[in-house]
Amino acid sequence: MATEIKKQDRKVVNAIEEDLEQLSSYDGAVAARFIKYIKPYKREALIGVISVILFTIAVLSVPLMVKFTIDNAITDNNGGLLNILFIGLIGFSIMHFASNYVQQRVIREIGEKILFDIRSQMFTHLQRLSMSVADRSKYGSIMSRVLGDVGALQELFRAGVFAIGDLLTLLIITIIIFSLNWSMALGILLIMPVFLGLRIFWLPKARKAFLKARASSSVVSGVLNEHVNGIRVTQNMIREDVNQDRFDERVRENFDDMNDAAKYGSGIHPPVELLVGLTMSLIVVLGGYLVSGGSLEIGVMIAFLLYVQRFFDPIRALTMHYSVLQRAMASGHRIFELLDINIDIKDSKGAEDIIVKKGSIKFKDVNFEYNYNEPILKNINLEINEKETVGLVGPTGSGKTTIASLIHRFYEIKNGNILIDDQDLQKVTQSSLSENISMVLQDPIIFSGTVEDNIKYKAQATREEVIEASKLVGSHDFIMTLPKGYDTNLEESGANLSIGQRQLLSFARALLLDSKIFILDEATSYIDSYTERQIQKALDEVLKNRTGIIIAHRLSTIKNADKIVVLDKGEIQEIGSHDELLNNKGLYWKLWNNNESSFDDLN
Amino acid sequence: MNIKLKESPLHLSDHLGELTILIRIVKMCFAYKKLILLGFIGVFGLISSQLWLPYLLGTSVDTAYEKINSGSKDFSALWILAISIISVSALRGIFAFILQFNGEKIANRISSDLRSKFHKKLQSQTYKYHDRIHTGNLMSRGIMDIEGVKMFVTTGLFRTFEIISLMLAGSFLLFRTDWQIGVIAFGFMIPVASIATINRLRLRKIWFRIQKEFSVLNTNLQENLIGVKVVRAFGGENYEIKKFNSSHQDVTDDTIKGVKVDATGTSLMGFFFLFIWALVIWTGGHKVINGQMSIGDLTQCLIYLGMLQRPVRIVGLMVNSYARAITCGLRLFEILDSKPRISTRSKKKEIDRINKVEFKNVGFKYYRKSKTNDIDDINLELSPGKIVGLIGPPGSGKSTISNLIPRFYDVLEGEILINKTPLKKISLKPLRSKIGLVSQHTFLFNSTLRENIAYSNPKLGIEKVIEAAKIADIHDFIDSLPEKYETMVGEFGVSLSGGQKQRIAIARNIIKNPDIFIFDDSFSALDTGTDKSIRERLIPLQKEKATLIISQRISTISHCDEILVMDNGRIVDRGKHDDLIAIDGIYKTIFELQNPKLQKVH
Repeated sequence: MATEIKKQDRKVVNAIEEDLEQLSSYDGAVAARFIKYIKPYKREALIGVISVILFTIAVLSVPLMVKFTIDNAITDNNGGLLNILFIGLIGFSIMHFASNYVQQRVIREIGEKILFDIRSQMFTHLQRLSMSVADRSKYGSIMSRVLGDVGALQELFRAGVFAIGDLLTLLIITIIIFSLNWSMALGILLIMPVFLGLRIFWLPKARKAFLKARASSSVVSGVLNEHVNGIRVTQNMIREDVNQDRFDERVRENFDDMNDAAKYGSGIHPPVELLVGLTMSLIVVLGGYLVSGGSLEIGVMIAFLLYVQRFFDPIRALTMHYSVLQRAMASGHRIFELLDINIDIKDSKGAEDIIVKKGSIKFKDVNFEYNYNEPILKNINLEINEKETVGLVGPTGSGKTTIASLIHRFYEIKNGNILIDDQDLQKVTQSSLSENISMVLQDPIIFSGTVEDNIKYKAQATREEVIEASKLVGSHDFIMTLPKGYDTNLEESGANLSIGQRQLLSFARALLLDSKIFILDEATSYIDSYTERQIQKALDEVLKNRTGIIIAHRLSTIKNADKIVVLDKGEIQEIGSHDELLNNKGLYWKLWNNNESSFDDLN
Repeated sequence: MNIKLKESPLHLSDHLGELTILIRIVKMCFAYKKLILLGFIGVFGLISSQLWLPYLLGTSVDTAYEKINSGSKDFSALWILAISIISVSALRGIFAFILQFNGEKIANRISSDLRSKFHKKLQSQTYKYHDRIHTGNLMSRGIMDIEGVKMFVTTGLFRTFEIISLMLAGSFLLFRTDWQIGVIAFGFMIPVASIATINRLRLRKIWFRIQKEFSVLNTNLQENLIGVKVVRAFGGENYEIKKFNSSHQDVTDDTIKGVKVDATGTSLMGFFFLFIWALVIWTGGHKVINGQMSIGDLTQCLIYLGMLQRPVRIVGLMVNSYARAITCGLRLFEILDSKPRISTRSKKKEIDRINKVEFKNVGFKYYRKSKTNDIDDINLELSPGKIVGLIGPPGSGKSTISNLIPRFYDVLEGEILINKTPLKKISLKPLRSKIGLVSQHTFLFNSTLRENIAYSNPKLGIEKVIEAAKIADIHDFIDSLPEKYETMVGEFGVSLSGGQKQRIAIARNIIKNPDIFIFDDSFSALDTGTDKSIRERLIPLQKEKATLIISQRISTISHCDEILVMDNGRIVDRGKHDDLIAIDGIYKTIFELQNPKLQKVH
């Protein structure tokens, strides 16, 4: 059993590793699309690049200046020149300061702005996609794209600009040392490939070890999270000791992985230092011979010693940039994948705002399917008159919720027409549709914010109007018992409210929209009989002057409707009032007679 | 019997000085004597080899320079220097390895220890504790704060010694080589170190703000995605975009503020460094010209100065890691030092079997500050073979009663007796093992179905698991899955419906083979048919056991030997179904609500 669990854990670890790894190679298309985001900041980017170049020059000039000072001022005992060079060095320090400030600030600022632009674009795009996309995608994956991947892509910009500086550094140093003394420069250049080879050999291994440690660490966090969340079950089942052992085992595994990573992290020091030492001793010996031979000035030798360190740094940085680039490519793919999802429901050309005065709804030969050739609704013909209350019932999967979604055009129908006050839904603007339909959904959604914010949502309503709506649905009393009444901040997903209370709030929210059509999509299914009765009362009041569509699987909820539509397998089986349906002796009658309270009890 | 509670367990207690937190962490590190010793060997080895290098390089320059003047052809001195440079560099690498590796190892040890202790503490904490402290809060302590302490151990502990020694030795050597240059170098260390520190602390503040703002952004996005239907239904797309952009703007603004602070700091530090460098060359140069100093000495000074650059710069980082360790340590130790309020240790009576459970005038409230009790004056009796039903409106106190029997909470007034012995005198773990409480909310662990069902006894044979699953009417479903009982559930596995989860919870408790069953609204997500058939299959098991069924549904409890009707925390009616139907009370109202046929059609 234990090994079984471990295997499952490994599965998770591997999935995380793969996700982190995703070594996708350089992709021109991703890069080209990314460049478009830089365009608005062309000027700033140019300033950034210039300051990177200036900075690089400033950094590299200092050893040169030192060399020049030693060779021309100090060894030649020229105090006057020394003073002039001192002023020159101060000048370089100021240039160093200014260019360093500008490069850091400008480049990172552009990076942040690009990040903002991409995220904002993604979010806007998400708002335009139809419900069918939302149904299909896991929100966790969208979250990680919008938050995580965008961050990685922004890194690409920074790494790219700084890489320019590093390459330039490498180039200039090479030129300088060759012009100073080619034989010593050649000696150093011979050591470089060894260093580069070492990095290339070491980096992927170290990365893997780090990723493994990170993955097993997130397993530890996952188990901790699970055990904290399940603490009540654990104490109930007296499994504290077993859980502790299992947790400790994960911790031990992670400990080993972290030590492995530490080995890689610190193991690189001896060979690197050895190489640096080799290079320096090469300069000392070669330089010593040359200096004593008179073919090399002592200042050059000092300059070489000063350049050695600077030569290793850009190589180190460049190999790091490369892994940033790899990660960014994978992120870029995921981001553009999301942005490339087609917006499948758009306002048609010349679409006008819908005008709903009465609130009658008509379905004409409507067919609908989510997936090709899997019909959900078949030939639906339905007429709902103004101010009528219609109950939709049927077993799970019969298509009752789909009908409600189609009235709001959450999905595109395959054929047929849906008309509200004789206006075809496909010919009106989507935004005007939302203004004219109020919906209460099965899962009451609470947004973070105050009670009032939640009832208002986006409506421009006064406190009085909010209270009025709240009183009507019967939520006013419990709101007043909250610590700050309507100004009480609701915790994450309204955790400090019961589900019934949350549902009442979403009721009030729908009411505030004050539209002619009111849809309740299984809004009472999680609610106990008491609260339901309370809501029912409110509903009678609300629906007096409105067209109401109530979807329910409890018969008691819709018994009093003007018209009850019985659905099964995407087709309308029966339509009629409660009494008529009982006389029909069909599906409805069968349920009623068996004294079953809901359609789900059928089978 | 009041439970003694500190005002708030999460209050940052003032008694603990900040320094004691650091001392406590350092003490934890020193428990690993061998690793600490190795770490110190690494630090001092690294520093000595680091300091030797400039001397060797300076000497090399001088040797080479002398050769020009003397015209000597003896280069053995240069070769010896070259070999010394190589060996010192190699040693430096090795010591750096020893230092970093052991430093990280200690950090890993400590974070592992802390994680284990943290887990253990949470496992032993009471329901009340977990009710009060949000999981997110606990998790951030268990992950982020342990990470903060770990970071301090890796970056703060040895680095402090390394940096202080390097700075001291570096300045000493500079002063020894030339005291005037030493003074100049000192003039560099002070502004740079203070800029680094002030900057870090400012950045820390900004970073905290960004984190907060980012979590708002995160919530915005998450709510938008979860509430997509509401957004669409209300046409709130533009409103949502505005909301998202405005919270994103906050993050961006503060990030850019941080960038400014950071850019100012690092470029100022760079400037000071170069400025002092120039000053040293200038004064040193004049000294060389005046014959007060050799070129080699000047080179040495420049290299010493270069070496001081890094430690001075990371002073800021270190101060940051100290500050972080203090906040993290404070939050962490608060949890680790908390005491479980229902003790399980002291000598208690062991019971072999629960024969009778009695509630005598029991009163209880969840929050000490509530004005009224959540349940009051409860009297009831559970005995083998008897089934008691409990019904009442939501919030009437039904679940509270079920939580008091396994002593997840302590009663406030009155007492509960098990086999005539007060509950508080009974040893806790054996007691809980004899109670099968199927609670309202089923929690599934990220594991297989088999593990989840056999949760109380992971070593149980599969036949027993299947047997329980059959009684709970979930076997057929499990058997239809491709991996059957080895199917993963939870976050990474198949998702189950509410009814399926409830049936697993029932099976889980059947496995426990308890003396008493408590079903706390655990049939609510099942349709009436399944509900009934499970209850029928349970009957043979219940013969020798006491049973308490809590439900909102009349049909679930109508057959009970005794039905208790609760309202507002009190038992208002009791009797059999037929008795209760006959009186005009809550029971009758509920009964009519749930049987639409009995209602008048308007």
